[in-house]
Amino acid sequence: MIVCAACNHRNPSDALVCEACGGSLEHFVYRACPSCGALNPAENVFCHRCFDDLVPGSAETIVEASDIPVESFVPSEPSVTDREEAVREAAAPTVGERPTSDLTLEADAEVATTAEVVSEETEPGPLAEPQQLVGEPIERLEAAPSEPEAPMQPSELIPEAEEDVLEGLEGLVPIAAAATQAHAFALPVPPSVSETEQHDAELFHSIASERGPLRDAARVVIPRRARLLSRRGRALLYLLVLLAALTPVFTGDRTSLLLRPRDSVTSLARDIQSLPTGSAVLISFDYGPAYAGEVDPLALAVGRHLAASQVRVVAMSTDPGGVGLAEHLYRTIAGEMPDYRYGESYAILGYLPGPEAGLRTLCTSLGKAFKVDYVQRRTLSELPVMKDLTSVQDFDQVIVFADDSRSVRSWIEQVQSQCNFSLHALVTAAIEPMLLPYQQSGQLSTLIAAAHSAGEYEKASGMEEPSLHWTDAYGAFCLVLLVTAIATNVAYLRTRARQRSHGQ
Amino acid sequence: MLETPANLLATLPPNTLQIAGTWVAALLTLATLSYVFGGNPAFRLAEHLLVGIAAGYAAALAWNQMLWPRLQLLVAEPATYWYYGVFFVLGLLLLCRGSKSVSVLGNLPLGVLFGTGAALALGGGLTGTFIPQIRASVLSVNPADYGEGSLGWAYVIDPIIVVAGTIAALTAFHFGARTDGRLRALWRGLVRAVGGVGRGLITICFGALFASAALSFFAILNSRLVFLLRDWLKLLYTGRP
Repeated sequence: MIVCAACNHRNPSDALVCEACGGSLEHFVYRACPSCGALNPAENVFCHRCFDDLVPGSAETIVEASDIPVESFVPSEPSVTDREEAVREAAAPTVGERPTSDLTLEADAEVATTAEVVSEETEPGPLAEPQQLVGEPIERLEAAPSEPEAPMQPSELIPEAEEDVLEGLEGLVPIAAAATQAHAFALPVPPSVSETEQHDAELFHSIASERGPLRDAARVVIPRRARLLSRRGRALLYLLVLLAALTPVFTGDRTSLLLRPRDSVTSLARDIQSLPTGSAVLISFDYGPAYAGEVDPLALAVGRHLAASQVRVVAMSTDPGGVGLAEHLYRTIAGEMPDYRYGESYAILGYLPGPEAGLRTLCTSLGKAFKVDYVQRRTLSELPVMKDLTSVQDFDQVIVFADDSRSVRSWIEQVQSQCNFSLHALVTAAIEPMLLPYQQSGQLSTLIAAAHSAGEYEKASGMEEPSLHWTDAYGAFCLVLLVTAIATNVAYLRTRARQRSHGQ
Repeated sequence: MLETPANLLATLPPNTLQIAGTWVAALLTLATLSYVFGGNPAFRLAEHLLVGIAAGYAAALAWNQMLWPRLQLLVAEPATYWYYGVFFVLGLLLLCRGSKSVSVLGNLPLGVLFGTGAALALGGGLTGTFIPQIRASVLSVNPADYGEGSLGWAYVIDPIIVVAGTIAALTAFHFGARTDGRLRALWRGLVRAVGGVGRGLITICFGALFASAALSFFAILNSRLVFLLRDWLKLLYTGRP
């Protein structure tokens, strides 16, 4: 395969001109890098891959014709350094021992060309400028004798025509000095790459950079009318959702008064109400700030109810973000109730890592799981609220607020199945369907979606109802969702029916 | 008096920090909501702050809550709490994963970590999910077990729908090659019909899941709007949060 230097088109190995641009492929010469084996054009001074110097020992770096399956392999324009090296070899007494491939023969011919130039210069300093040498045509190369030749005198091989080309060009361009200097880059040399690997890499590059038919097929032209409709529809949907969120401004919470708490919410409120004074409840805040907007109102409502019932509360979290949220909530509750003090009425144990091993330790010892509490950094035995509470089984109820179904599953699998206690899961609406089987099997005493339950819980527990204003917004949003679903489905069915009728 | 940050804060009017916090939260909320107009630098800033602060907070929490108290115990009473030393060494070996030359040393703590986690997860999955869920799936289809009259029949229909729905949903994923023969054609028609019912059930299930997720995200949006209107602009809901 010959890559055209002008257009990068890959031509068959026997091509003389590029199939794509028509350019000549006559001067297709590669030079193998001595360090990494990459093939470089003959005029390159440094390897395109590893930046290694290609100049020293250039006689060895030129790839022999037998290594590359290119019949039209015409060496041409070897660099000045190559020629100088070749001249030195030609002048040496061991010239006759060199291999006798076509390329070396060609090099010998070139040696003869440059021998005179070098012989004229007695000083080894700056080399002569690059000289235009005409490469041998392929017919002449093939016709060249293949047996080893006797050492030749350089003067015997100097063509008359080429002497004129070199005349008067010495010292005009100091490129040879730059070519002989070591390159500044000192990049690590990659492992040697075989020619097959090099070819595979080039093939992969060409395939990867080609524009495939898939990319063209994926380009879908959407009509302007449909684009506008989509944009307007999206804007309308945003507006409706915004209006739904602002519904309480217009309704003044009047419709919220019609709210009736669901059975599960009423059941949880009744369970907490029935707890005697001094009972203990463990609450795990297993949600992060991203879902705090949904879960916080319900957590606040339950926390206020527990505080009003004078129940001891111990809070913890298996989510790093949940600890700060728990502290914020209980600071709010403590601000509303002066008798509700940290360490006596409630405590925040902190973050418990490890969904399996960490939670499993709660069955044996709270002290092993938490060395100190989160707020005052005291040992658990120093906190009055922790009196007689050594493991999770000592709590009357366990409530988990979660935004991830795996968290609740870990509680069920690692703690509840080992210790057997009453577990309530108050979760985001998004994960509630995933946990329904656990409620139906009786493993979860309560499963409540937090989104719209705060107002219901406040109503069921007979407390103040600051979260009630959320209810109107949820009602309006559900209405928007329903209308949108019906409208889009009707539009879809009509479009499909129209397309079918057109098709017929 | 030395002007420490604490002294400077003490000279500020009361609630200054709270007001500043509300303003920062409001501006970051607006920056996040600005994504409705497409990606922009304000949204990127809020996004990067969220990720960076969350990571920093988690790291500080792990040090304060987990590592430091246990390190103190290990130093104070090494004879009693020697096992913490083993865990610290395992933790340090985990850091070897960062270097290629010594990364093999990190395999030991990883093996302990994954081995313990897998064993506990497997045991917990069996006793907490697998067996209880199978037990809960064994339901009576006798109406008398649920009560008299039509109520009992209603309870019977429920597990039948569950079983039939499960089979139909599984059939929806049956793919077979077209074969000849009358019996095979009948079988293919049956599979297609039941699979169609299963596909319908799966669609309804996905619809319910999507609606739940949408409600969840609306709750978050609603909370942010309430925050902006009530806590920041003091326009609405002047009662307690």
